[in-house]
Amino acid sequence: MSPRRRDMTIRSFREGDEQVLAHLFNAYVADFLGPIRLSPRAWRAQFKRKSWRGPSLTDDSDCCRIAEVGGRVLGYALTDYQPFWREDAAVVQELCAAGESGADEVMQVLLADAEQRGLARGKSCLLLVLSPEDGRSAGAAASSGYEEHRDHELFMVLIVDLSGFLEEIAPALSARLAESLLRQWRGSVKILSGDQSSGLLCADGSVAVGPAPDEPDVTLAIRPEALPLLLLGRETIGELYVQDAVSLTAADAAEALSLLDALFPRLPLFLPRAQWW
Amino acid sequence: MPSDSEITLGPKRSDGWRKVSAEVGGKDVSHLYYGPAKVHVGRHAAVTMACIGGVGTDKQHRRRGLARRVFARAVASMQGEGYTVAGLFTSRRLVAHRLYRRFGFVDVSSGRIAYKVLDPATLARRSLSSLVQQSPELGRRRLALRLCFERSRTVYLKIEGNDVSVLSRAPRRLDLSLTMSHTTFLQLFDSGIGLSHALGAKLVQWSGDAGAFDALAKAIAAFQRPVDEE
Repeated sequence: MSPRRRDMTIRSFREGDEQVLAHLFNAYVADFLGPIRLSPRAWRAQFKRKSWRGPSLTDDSDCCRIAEVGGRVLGYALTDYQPFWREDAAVVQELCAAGESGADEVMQVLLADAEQRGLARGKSCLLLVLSPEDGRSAGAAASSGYEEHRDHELFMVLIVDLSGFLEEIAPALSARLAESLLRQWRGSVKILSGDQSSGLLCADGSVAVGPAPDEPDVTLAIRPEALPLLLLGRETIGELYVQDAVSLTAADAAEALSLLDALFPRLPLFLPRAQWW
Repeated sequence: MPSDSEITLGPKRSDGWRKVSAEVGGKDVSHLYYGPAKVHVGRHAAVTMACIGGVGTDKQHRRRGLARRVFARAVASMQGEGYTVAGLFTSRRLVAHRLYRRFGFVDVSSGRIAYKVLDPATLARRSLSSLVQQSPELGRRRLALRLCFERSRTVYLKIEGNDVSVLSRAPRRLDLSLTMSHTTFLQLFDSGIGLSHALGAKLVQWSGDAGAFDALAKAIAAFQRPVDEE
């Protein structure tokens, strides 16, 4: 059990808390995922998703426990006491705390509270689901004596429409190009992957998506199994290049690599729990 | 490819989800569901993902390519509905994981989970009870077992018939003594590592009756057979 601030109290969810909890969630993940904006409604919607088999917040407000000092919310933990995949466990699905200072302590106190409640409900272990990018919850869990393993669950992806995907991220591609040293680069890129193809036209620090050009300046052929890794920022073009998962045709291969590195950087992966299914 | 099956695309529900199914003789024997979500790709973009869930095929209709046809129909439909990417959750220990890879899906992120054992005795009793239910050979043995969890308490258990009970103190005769961490114990039951493998990796130490150890190792190996989801 971690040391606990004397003035910190833990209470269960009350109607209307979702406003401050959604705000806290957004602030918490901003450090490692960027400016996510989960609305209070979307935050609340996670209790309707298919994987949440527990009671609704209205029926069992204990599944959301809130740490506060003098009425100021410092953190919260969402715990599913009826996970469909493990009857003997309680599962903390989300653990958030505000700010840097003292956040670790708040999360440890929330974990200790979930442990007590889990024991009271006859659970023999407590599990904490961690976002792949979230080092703070992992740190708090480690300080509380938790052990971690990575092989529990796997997220798999298939790109069903390469051109459509590139069009959706075109504003991001433009922003990445504009922020790079190659912002003045003009030319076309042809992307080939399995039976899909698409084209990027770069000019004036902006990227437009179109059909694959006939005479591109850069041709990137990428194995279908590597395509989601590049587009979602799980691996960089350099990493895929050394794995022989991509081939590049360009007059200046080094410049083409730099360009693709700028357009497709390594990125955090964010899957809002509200959208888990 | 079975000629008597028909792939059906269900109507879109108000929440955007729809079902794709293979029917044989008018009966749904293989299906999946998909619905919309926005997934962030870095700080400046979000893409329209088709979230896939509820995948399943009746046992007697497996290994006939039905799931492949259901997936192909779903992906074709997604392309016409503005989805640019499809995603699903699974586990490496499921047979389905290999099938999804054959369908073109790619592992992009492993889940991370941290856990703490709150009640080692109950955890051990429940886990071994499940094991004994599935393993008649283990159930036929009368075993007195000591489980030494690293940095935690020692648990004494008795396996007799289909019953597993926790003993309040060390028995006079001990058949098997095992030492491991909570992580290893949980992984034996959850994550597809076998007792022999754990032993080879020096995650487990044991002493006692070799026959009892072998029976336990066999029971755990059988217990961990991948779930045949497809």
